[in-house]
Amino acid sequence: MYKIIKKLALGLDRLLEVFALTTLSVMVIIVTVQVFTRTIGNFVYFWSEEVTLLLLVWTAFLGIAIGFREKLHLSMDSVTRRIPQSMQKIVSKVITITVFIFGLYLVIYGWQYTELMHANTLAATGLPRSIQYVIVPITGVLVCIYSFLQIVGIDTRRHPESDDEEEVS
Amino acid sequence: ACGGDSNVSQEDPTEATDNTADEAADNTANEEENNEAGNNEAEPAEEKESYQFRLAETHAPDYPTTLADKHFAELVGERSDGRITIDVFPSASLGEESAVLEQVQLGSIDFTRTSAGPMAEFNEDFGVFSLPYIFDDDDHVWNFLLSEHGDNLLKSLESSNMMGLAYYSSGARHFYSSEPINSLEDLEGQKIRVQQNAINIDLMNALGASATPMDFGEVFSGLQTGVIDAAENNYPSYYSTRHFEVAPYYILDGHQRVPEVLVASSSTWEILDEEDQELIKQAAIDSIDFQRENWAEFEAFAEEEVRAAGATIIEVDDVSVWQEAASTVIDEHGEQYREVLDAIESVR
Amino acid sequence: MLGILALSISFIILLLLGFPVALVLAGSTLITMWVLDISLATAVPNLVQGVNSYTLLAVPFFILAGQLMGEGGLSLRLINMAQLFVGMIRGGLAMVNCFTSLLFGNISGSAVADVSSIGSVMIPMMKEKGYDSDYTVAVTAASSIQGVIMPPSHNMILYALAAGGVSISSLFLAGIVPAFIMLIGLMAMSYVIARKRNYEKGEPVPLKKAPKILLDGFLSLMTGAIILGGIFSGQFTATESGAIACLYAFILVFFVYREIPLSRMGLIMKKTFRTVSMVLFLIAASKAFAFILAYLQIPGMVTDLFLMVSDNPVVIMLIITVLLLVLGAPMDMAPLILIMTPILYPITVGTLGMDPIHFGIIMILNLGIGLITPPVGTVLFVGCALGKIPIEKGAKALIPFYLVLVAILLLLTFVPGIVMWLPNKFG
Ligand code: NA
Ligand code: NA
Repeated sequence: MYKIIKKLALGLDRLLEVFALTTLSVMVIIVTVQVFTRTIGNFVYFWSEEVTLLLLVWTAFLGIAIGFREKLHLSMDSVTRRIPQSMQKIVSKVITITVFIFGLYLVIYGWQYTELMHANTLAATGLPRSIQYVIVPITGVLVCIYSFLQIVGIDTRRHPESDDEEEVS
Repeated sequence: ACGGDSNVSQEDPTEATDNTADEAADNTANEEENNEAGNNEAEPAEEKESYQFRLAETHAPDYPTTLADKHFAELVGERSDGRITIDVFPSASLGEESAVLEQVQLGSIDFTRTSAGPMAEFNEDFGVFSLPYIFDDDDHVWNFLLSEHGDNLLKSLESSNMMGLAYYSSGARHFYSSEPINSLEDLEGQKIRVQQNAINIDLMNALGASATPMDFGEVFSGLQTGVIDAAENNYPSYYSTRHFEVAPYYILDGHQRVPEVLVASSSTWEILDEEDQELIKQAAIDSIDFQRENWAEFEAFAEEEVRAAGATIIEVDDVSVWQEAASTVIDEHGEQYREVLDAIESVR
Repeated sequence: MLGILALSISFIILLLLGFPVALVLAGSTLITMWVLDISLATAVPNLVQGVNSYTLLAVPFFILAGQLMGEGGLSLRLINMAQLFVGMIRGGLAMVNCFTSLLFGNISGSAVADVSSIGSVMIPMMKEKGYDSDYTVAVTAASSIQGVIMPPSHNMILYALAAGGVSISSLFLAGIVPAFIMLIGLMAMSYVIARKRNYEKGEPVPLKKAPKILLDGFLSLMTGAIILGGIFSGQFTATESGAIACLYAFILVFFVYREIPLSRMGLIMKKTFRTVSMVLFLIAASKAFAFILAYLQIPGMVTDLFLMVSDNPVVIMLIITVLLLVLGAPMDMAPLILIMTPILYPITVGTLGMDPIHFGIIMILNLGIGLITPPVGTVLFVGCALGKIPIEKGAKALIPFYLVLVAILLLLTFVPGIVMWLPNKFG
């Protein structure tokens, strides 16, 4: 059973990663092309700003889910490091459960808001505004899946080896 | 300062929203029910409910629209004997216009002053104001806004979960550039920063320029370094953004006259009784003259300041040439606004 | 009052329990909204609008460009170049270290990227030449703080976003002079300590090696030149410069240096995405947090509170400096910029009339110092890990450098002309 779940999760991870890396690259490409069309051709595709921003929003939200999966999101552990091991375990369970609740929040309210925004449009492309928001419930579902797996004790990290990560500062 | 009063106004819509997570469309009906039930429990006596509302504004505290917001809030406060207070949140502290409008629809922001430009994303009818050269002058604009048609346009916001209260002035939008633009021909090939919407982009193409997307905060340095050649805005913004320092040529073509709109959230509106609704609506209408006077004063002041700073103001002799060049935009987008355009024509 | 109580209590508890900081921000916002009966859906648009910004695009771009350059063998070339210029002074490698950090800072926007890529080469190199571990770590960590001030810097973009409408190109310009002042200050302090501890006198690089070193280093430094040159000559905006930097770095790493195979691109993208995820979640969450701050009118209250204590600008600025230094000790830079800008901006820029550019530079340098102060200092941690010394030892060796940095901070705070000279001259 666990094996099947794990396999499914791995498949999902792959899909997500390919999608996220694609959005990241496409953003670089659109903006680079925009510089060239403007300086050489003296025009800019009318959709370039809006589509790039849409990709940025999508990248950011997928990043939230992947960040929880990989336990990437920075935290301040100077207090919890000093408490007994058994307490630390409880706290970390509480955090994982909270992440699950946060995922539920994104699903429920994200979906509600997406529906509310469906009648509105984006200025340049005229796409429904909901397209900006539908990533929120999707991220919520992913966050729920990953935190659920963590609660039942499945390690969701796919890149624990690259922990020598350069962080932001 | 942010005490319990606000709860009264927020409570009922929230519960309704919570209950109907799956069916946002039903919000309105449920809100009313919940609200009535709540009122009956909490208010057995005759004394009327107090409210504390929030009004989101993107401009600085001393800008004419912000002053008008505050004037409106004062009128409401006075006329309700302090029972209804409206706090004005200037400088986009609650978010930019589009984001605020979304939350007005949701009901978490009660009032906002917004430009009719971004309003088009929420209510198609408002797109008409982006059409180029449809108004002759400010009087023409106000003849239309204060007509039955202008009022109908405000009313149409109800279908977008908003309550249109009043229009405010926003003057005319003109082009400004780092190199002199003396005629339509000089616009040829210029990279102009506009807000990206379909009409604006087509307008730039029709005038032979290219629409360049850019965050508003980057326009100053964009003009300075030459990433863009020109931008466009009304006198007060031309002055307050200090863009005249880097783009000292201001050509008064008045391509658009996009009014401001003062709106309330339908969720907020529905918790008010008819008397309070009337009070607020009237206060909004009564704040129009104050805003128009302030606007005119500030416009004159801005003009004086930019002239004193050495900006070159270029008059357009014959705007019909520009109008002609931009007519394709009306051909392209005008059909859906035919009725409103006729109304605008009729009050010329 | 209820709202402020709910916000501050939930914020502190979640933070101390070790919740991810972004979740602390989003969580305490949601709890407050729940307590005040504001529709919880309100946080959704705020989370989304937080990352829906064209300016923000530059952040993933600069992170990708930095990652490409870091993996592509750039730091060694910069070190060689720095050695050519300052290697012969006493404590030569320390000077090289400081100078390299400045050069690297002109390419990357991240002090942590700086300390890890330069430190991993220079710390062992210095130790071999007889420098003490704690000194090498201190020099490496302190000098990498130049990276947050030397343009480009994604911290400046975060500030511009949080402040709203501040020009990134002006911030970039404003950072240059302070970065060079830091270089001089840090090199001077390194020299004083090197004399005291009697470290080696560096050897000059043989002149015939110079052309190759210069060419190699020049190509690397071109990234920075392209970014700044492109922005200020009007070829592209600060946002677009990030994409161009990626393109240039990509070509340089895979077609000119060719130290790593093209197949590594996948891994580089993954690493970039990891960092980008962290930053973007923080930004999204802090937008929701900023909304609730504004909604509760907290910035105005903080302003009143400051004015109650004193109406003397110097005193207020000193209090703000201490406040930021204290907050910077236990917390990281990005969340602090995003949280504190909306709170402090109304008093510094609004009431005291500071230039938003000046305040931004002060704030970023201030929080940058927090990166090397315990208990939480990512740059300090990475430095100590590379030098294999305990955090306490690293922090102790850093004391003289803290003094230099704080002195520079105060200088820049009270002599705005230093910061504003380039942006004003250019404008
Ligand atoms: Na930098
Ligand atoms: Na610290």
